[in-house]
Amino acid sequence: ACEDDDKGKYKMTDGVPTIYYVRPPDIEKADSLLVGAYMGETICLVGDNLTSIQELYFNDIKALLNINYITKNTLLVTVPREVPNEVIDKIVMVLKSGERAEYDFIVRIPAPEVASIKCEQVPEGEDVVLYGDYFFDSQTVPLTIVIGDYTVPKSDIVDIQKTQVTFKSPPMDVKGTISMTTAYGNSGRTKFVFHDDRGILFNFDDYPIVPGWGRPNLIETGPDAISGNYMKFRGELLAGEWISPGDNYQCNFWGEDNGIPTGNLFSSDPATSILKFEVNVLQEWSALPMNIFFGPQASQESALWDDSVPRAQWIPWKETGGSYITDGWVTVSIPIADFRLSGSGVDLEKIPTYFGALNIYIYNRGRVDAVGTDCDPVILIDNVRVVPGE
Amino acid sequence: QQRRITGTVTDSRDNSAMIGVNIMEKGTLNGTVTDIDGNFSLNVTTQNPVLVLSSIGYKALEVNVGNRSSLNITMEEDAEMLEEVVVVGYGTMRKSDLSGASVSVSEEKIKSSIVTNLDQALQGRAAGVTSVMTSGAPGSAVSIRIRGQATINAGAEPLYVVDGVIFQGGSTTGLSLGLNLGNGRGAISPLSTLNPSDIVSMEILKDASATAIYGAQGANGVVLITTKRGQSGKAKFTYEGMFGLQDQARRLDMMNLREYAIYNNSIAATTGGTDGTPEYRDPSLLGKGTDWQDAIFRQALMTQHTISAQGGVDAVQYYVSGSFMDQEGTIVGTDFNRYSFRVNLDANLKPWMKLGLNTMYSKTSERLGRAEGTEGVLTYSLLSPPDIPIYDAYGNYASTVKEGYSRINPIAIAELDKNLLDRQKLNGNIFMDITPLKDLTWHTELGYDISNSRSEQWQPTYNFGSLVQRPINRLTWQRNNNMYWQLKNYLTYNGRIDKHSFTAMVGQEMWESSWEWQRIGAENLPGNEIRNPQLGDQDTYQIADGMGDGAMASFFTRETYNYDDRYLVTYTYRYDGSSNFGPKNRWAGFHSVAGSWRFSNEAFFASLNNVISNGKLRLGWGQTGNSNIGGGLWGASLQMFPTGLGAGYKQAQIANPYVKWETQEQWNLGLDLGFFHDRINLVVDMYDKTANDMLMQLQLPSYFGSRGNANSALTAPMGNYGTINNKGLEISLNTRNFTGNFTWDTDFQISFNKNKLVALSGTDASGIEGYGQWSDVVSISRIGAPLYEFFGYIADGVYANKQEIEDHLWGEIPENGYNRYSTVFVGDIKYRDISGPEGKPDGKINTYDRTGIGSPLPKFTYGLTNTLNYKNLDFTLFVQGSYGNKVFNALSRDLTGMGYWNNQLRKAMDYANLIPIDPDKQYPIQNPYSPTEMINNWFEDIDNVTLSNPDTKMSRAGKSLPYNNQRISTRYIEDGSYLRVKNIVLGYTLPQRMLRKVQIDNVRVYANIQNLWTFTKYSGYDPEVGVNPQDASGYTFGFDQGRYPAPRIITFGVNLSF
Amino acid sequence: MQRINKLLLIVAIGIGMISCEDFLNRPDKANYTLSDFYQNDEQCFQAVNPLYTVPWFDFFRGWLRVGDCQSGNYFMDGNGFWMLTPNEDMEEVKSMSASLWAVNARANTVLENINLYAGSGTTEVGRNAAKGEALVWKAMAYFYMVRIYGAVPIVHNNTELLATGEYNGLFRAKIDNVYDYIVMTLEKAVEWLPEKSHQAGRIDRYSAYGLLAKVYLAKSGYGQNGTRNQDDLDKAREYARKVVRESGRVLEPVYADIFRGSKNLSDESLIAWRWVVAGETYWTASNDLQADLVSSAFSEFSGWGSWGGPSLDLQEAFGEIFDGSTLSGAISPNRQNTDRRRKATMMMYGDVYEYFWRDHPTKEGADGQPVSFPNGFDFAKFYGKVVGDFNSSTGANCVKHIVGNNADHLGEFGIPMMDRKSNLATHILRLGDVYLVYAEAILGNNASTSDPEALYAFNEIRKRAGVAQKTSITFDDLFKERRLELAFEGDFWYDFVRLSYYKPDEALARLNAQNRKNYTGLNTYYLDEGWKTWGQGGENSYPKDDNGKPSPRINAEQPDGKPFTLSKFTMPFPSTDLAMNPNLAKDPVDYDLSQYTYE
Repeated sequence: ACEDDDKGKYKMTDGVPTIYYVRPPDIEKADSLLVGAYMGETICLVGDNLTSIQELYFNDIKALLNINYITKNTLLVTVPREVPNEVIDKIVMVLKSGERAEYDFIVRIPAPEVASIKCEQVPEGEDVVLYGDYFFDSQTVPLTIVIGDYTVPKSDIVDIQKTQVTFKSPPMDVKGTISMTTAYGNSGRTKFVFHDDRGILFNFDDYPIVPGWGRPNLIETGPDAISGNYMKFRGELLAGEWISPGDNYQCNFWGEDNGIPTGNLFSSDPATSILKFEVNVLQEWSALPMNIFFGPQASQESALWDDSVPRAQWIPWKETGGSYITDGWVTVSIPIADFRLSGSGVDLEKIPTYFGALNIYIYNRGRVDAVGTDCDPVILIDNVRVVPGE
Repeated sequence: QQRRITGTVTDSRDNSAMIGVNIMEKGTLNGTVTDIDGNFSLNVTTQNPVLVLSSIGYKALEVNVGNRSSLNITMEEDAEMLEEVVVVGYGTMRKSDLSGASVSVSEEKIKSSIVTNLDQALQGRAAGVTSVMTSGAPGSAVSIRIRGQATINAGAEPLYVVDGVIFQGGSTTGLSLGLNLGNGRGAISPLSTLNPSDIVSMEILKDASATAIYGAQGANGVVLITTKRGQSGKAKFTYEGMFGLQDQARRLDMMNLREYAIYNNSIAATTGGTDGTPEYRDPSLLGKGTDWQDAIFRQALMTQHTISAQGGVDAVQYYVSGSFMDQEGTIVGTDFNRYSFRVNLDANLKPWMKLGLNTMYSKTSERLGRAEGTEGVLTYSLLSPPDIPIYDAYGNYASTVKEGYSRINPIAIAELDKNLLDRQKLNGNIFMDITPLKDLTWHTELGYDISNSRSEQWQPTYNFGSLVQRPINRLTWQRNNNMYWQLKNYLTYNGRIDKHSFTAMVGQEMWESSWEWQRIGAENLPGNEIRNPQLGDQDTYQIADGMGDGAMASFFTRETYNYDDRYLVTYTYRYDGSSNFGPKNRWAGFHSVAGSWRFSNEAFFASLNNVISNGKLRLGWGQTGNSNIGGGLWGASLQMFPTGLGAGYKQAQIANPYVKWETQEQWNLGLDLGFFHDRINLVVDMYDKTANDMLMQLQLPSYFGSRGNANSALTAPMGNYGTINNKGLEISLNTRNFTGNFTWDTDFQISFNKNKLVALSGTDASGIEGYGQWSDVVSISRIGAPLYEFFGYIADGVYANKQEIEDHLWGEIPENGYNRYSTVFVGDIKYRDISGPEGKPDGKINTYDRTGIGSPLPKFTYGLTNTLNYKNLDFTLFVQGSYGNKVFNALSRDLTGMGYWNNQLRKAMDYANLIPIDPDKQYPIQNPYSPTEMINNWFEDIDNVTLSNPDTKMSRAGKSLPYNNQRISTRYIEDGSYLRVKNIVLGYTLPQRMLRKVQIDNVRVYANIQNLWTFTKYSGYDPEVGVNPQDASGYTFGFDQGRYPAPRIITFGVNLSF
Repeated sequence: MQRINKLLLIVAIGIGMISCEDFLNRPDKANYTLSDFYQNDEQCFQAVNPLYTVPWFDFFRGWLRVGDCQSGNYFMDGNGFWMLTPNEDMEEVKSMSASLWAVNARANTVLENINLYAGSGTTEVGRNAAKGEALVWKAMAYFYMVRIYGAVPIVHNNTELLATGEYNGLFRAKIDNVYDYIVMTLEKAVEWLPEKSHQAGRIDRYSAYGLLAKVYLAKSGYGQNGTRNQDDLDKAREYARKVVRESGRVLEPVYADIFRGSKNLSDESLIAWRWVVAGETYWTASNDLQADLVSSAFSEFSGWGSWGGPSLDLQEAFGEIFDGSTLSGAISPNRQNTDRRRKATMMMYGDVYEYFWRDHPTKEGADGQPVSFPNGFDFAKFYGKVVGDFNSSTGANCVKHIVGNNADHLGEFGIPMMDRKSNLATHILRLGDVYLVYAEAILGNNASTSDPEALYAFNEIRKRAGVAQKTSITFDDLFKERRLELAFEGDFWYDFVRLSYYKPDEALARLNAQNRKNYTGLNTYYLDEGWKTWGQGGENSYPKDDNGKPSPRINAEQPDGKPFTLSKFTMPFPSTDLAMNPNLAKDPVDYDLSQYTYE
């Protein structure tokens, strides 16, 4: 056959490409020059002999080239979404000859975003874990973490990954919101407060616990403690739609018995506040929801059996593949705005009216997707608190 | 001892030199032929040499040489021999004795166009024959109609008879051979197994008096093909070789990448439609992108070689030939090749007994592409946006690089997928002529046609990115076997009593045909290297098979009577029985009678004979039939069908035990005139033929359950449900303008035909629908109108503003206001409101507004050949054309869909462009029609939009428009008239002086250009569009759905004989 | 000369001996013909078997589009059904019509053929059972037709119709005629069918009862204004009771199992299309709906349906509601509902299916990196990593009718899929449906009911779904429950059609009240895992698109064809039919049903 075998093929040229400048693809921005671009942005290289380029990398990440977007003088390409392993701030071109050419260009990476913390109340010297994204360390601009006005020493930062950073906790009196700085910017302040001591309702240390109702048998301390006493739920839990395992999984805190004789247990606006506590699950928990209620000052449990009383249901084992265990203490946050479920999990579309007492009870009143499987958990709880909205 | 004698042979009439006269020295094997100047030389060996001269059409001559060394010899024409003898059914006749209408295509004509298939040689060559190439793919079929479309459902192709044997395998589709090419039924040419070099002539029988002898099989006309036979004399070898280059001359005007970007950006700006592709934002940064047309079309080669030998001694004559041809397609992934061999023998066993044997074997291999239809590589590529690359920077097939874009790279598919077809055919006959008495001949003959085919459909795995992959490969093989035999006996008696001569012929014929096929398939073969279904996953094994047979038995007779070569009468009768019909209607008889008056032989005409040398008036009437419907349709069979509950048996169709022959009656009136000793010949024929009881499926509304896909529907009964009439006029004019050293002949023929559907069962409203690719009705054959008339809306431009919409669509002004997504809007196509439920315009565009919008059938077709010779040079110019036919340009319909995702014709850039009437109007405003809605942009505000180009023919653009701007309408109907320079041949015959030394008798070299230029207004690739291969019903004609265009071919060839 | 004469004689005799008629008789060697078949009961049933698949094939796609697109369950951008603008030239409109009528024609001919040709090897019980099955299919086809097209002609016997020559001139029968005809057909089927069929998966008497109940319930509103006909409701109640209380069938315990191939023959299924994997020749034998609902990367075979998806309105009905600002509805990476049917109906971010991709494949991602699926198919990973684009602008895709990949088909059926074709049966009448019909028939014209039977049927369905029991039921409760229970089973539209019979304004109002929008910006949001920072800086920190609008958001510009008007409840006939038979465009006439009987 006398076919033209080059049909539709990329006419690679020899020689070396020259890049004059890089510009955005928009026609109205034809005269703006770029020295860098964010991941996912489309840019245009302008130069000469660009058809000699066979592969193109941003730092060490290969970009997808479409030969129809390459002409002798222009090359349109989208900056890959992947974060480079090594930042050299260059476009690297591999030519037909196999040689390489480089051009200075910065792939802009977003500033760090601190989304959440594993545990707010980490005792001094233990590991604090922050979650988020774009946590990058670099030689020139090391990653720094600031708590309030305290800067965590570089030597205390144990581990840095793109979405997770671990550092050693400063003393408990170092408090405040956290911010992080990397070569690519500053995260701004977190909403949560590290070592937060606002709005503590119960830490099982500071208030007298009245026998018989506060379930003193559940309060103890030990090597697993995070700060003094904690409350311990334990014992066999059977799966089921209608199950009430009894005293080992029930606690009632009534303000009037615990030094808050009238009014709410806390002073911030309920609609925007958040209930927080630390929890340490030592043995697998895989059945029944944890129901958390607020109620009026009166010392009574009737709300527990009234399915029209709005409550929160915390069922962490549902999210983690059917059973839940923690690696040490973690902070749990539940907005009071979410205290709106009935016993069976139906949305009552309202939140509690009174905040004079708090009940926590692991049991199930007809919530079918929280039946779970039989288990024998150990659940430690401490520092139950309500903090203003984030 | 030897001595050399030389000489010249001339014609006694005009003393012109005679070429190619065979000269033998009597009693020896010594001989020669005369050269182009009539000269010869020969070394004689005998004592008293006698030369025997022979030349066809001249009286044989014996010349005593004596002692002369140079001779001037003149030869006389043999009046008896000169009478052209033509082949007719079951015999031959003198041409001057014919009363019916028939036309010949001679060997010269066949040769002057380069053909891979014989049927292509009929294009534009014979009056009354329309032929349309259904595809430009190599080896593809031509659809032939003799005197118009006479039937709609039963096969309408003529009957081909090769040396007396009915040629099997007509109108075969790829599907029936196991190739599922999309929805396509790409027709496979039956005649592509024949080698055109073996053919002496083709005789086309047109009127009923000529075809009636074929009775039930003759309704669509008959083509008789005669192959070469040996002649006594010295063995003559010929070699014919040629080499050709093919390409596609025409390109559609598509948008390139820059234009496509501009198009997309501007749509986005006036519709708020898409965020746009970032790469398009500055079109000046882009190159041209992929040119898909360049990618799919290629320059393709073809070659052909034939070697033949012929000759004979005394009682035995032979003709042997072998040939090879190879043709690549001009679209990637298609090609065709053929090997064929032929042996024709004649032996005179006894003075009263003659034996003959004809055998042909051929083998063809082809690779077919998915070239046609909306899934074909052509449409698919054209629709692919120009930013999709074919290859990546390394030259591998590119995976798609457009987000969310999952179209398969059409070039990759064309090259990776394989649709292969191999066919073999063994065809021939053995016959004996016995002459027990003088003037009485008994002809007995056994003919056969054995063929098989093997097709392979292979879909390998591929992976062009996560969205475009075929993780499981698939292979299907199908084998078809066909067996046909026929037995024939007839007696012919020729008598003459002074001025009265007559012949009588009576005979019998029977044939049987059987076929079977098996298909096996499997999926998930371990790799793409070995293609064997057995290697596939056992659970995916597929088996399918079929078989069937048919038979026919016939008795026939023909009587002719001739008085003094002035009055001639012919009568024929045939009685046929076919297995296609039930016992109730199995047999039918067909009569015909014809007469002619040769007035030029009348005494009173003698004085005019110098001017009018030949004059004949012919009149004929006859009946023929058609049974071409396949077996078993008069009953109802049950087909096995698997279901989730085990095997199921479903009824195939509603039975009609009364189904019977389709019969045709035809009148023919003809006039033959020859002037100035036949320097000018004129033949005029007029005919009127009516097909009654047309075989077709009953046309029924949905509620009968007979519509929809072929598996689900309870097929409507096959029966005799319609009547079609064709009337026509045919003129052939042949002039020999110059004779002598410089000769110039002109052949002109033109055919007019008018076709009409006269009647149809059901209500007056019923018609026969023709579909496009799926179930979109594009044509309806209606009572009183020609067949296949396109049916749809009349488009009158676009709506330029709200007022125009309301004046036009006064009956359907949207009650809840206008909405560019759910109602008609400015920029939509204005279809003409011609009627409504009350029979008058109703201000609504609805189904009542559909009407006939043009016929795909030509008003006339014509052909013109000029042949010039000067000494050793010869030149032929052949043009052919068609006038008055319309083409439905469905490809352009796809290419002006005005969507975002597909490339379009460049003219789509002229889409109805919305602009604000008042650019300063502030938005949002309250929607005047809907208190709850706001209008946020000018282009949503019906009161504030108009067009910048109100005269455009293109609709508005955007995604998912509610108002169907792509209805079947006059937008896509184009004039398909064309005039094509079909062939230009320039040849040169080398002087013999040069050849003697190398022992070669004759050498001709030539160059030929086929399809050099086509003059047409048609905007697609090729106006020559026949039956729609995509339409399962076969009721659509002239529908161009991305048909494989006919290539332009330049060939160089050489013919040698030695 | 002697020899020649002898030869002539022999040939002449030879020719004469061939009996022409025998020579020309060519029976079909490859297939049975009508008169050879129907020789035993098994053959009678085999003649009915095709009614379980073939003629329905072309209805299949339209079935889902009418049932679930038009009704607002399944979003398809710009699709004519979704916009409620189906027109007479649409492919599905034509193929649905052709298909339903083919069912009728085939049912009619099976009946006729058994009567004409059944041999002595058959039994009356067998013949009747086969004919009864055919009648139920016929009734099913007419039931769809009357609800889709309204008035339609009655074609009782195709061959007789041909013989009259009137085949191009039929008028449409009035809707109440058609309902009466369906009832008469089913009543005969009840008489003929056995209580339990000899083969699992076939239609039995309870299938007919169930369909009768549903037909009566639909019919009860026709021609009424504001209330329904009590006699019809009582009939519906009685027939449904037979199925619920007497059939011995029980609900399939796990909802998601109903739609798994291994449960093709579950008790739950009363009438089903029984597809089977078969070769190229038999392309209408298999279930190929999956391709309409998934992306081409979902299985080894092509697919093109990932751009449409469960509508926002259906998501809201299931409790996946985006409130415009908080992490809710599809904007939340976590699912917010407890109804077990949700995950079995639609897949959303965070859903992992152990029954899809059970071979736990590792795929090549859009960026070339391997992506593993250790627990089965994972919606977020699949679209986020493998496809690299969340195709559906509603943030969800359909789960029903999906088999999975080749390994899943092997797992459910033991055989591979072939080119998109599967064995998965499609249940078009199931027990759950009849339970709800039962409850609705009891509710009837009351505002609410606490009838113990109604509560039993209704709460059984809810129990299986894992949602709270009710002590009293209103029409609203039922309407919603039917929707959730039967979503994507081609049924919801007809609840509107039924309602439109007696409360057209309410039916329209319900349609117009639907949320028929989609999300914009969802794809980028998912790809960027935007919830990590969603709304953390107060309202101003929500991501925005280029126009400064919040993104993702509900796309207010999305055209949805509203407001809908009354004419939308019936679909046009294909234009071909109107052209062939103009009488179809005229007003329907009264058919005298007494002329029709079933033998």
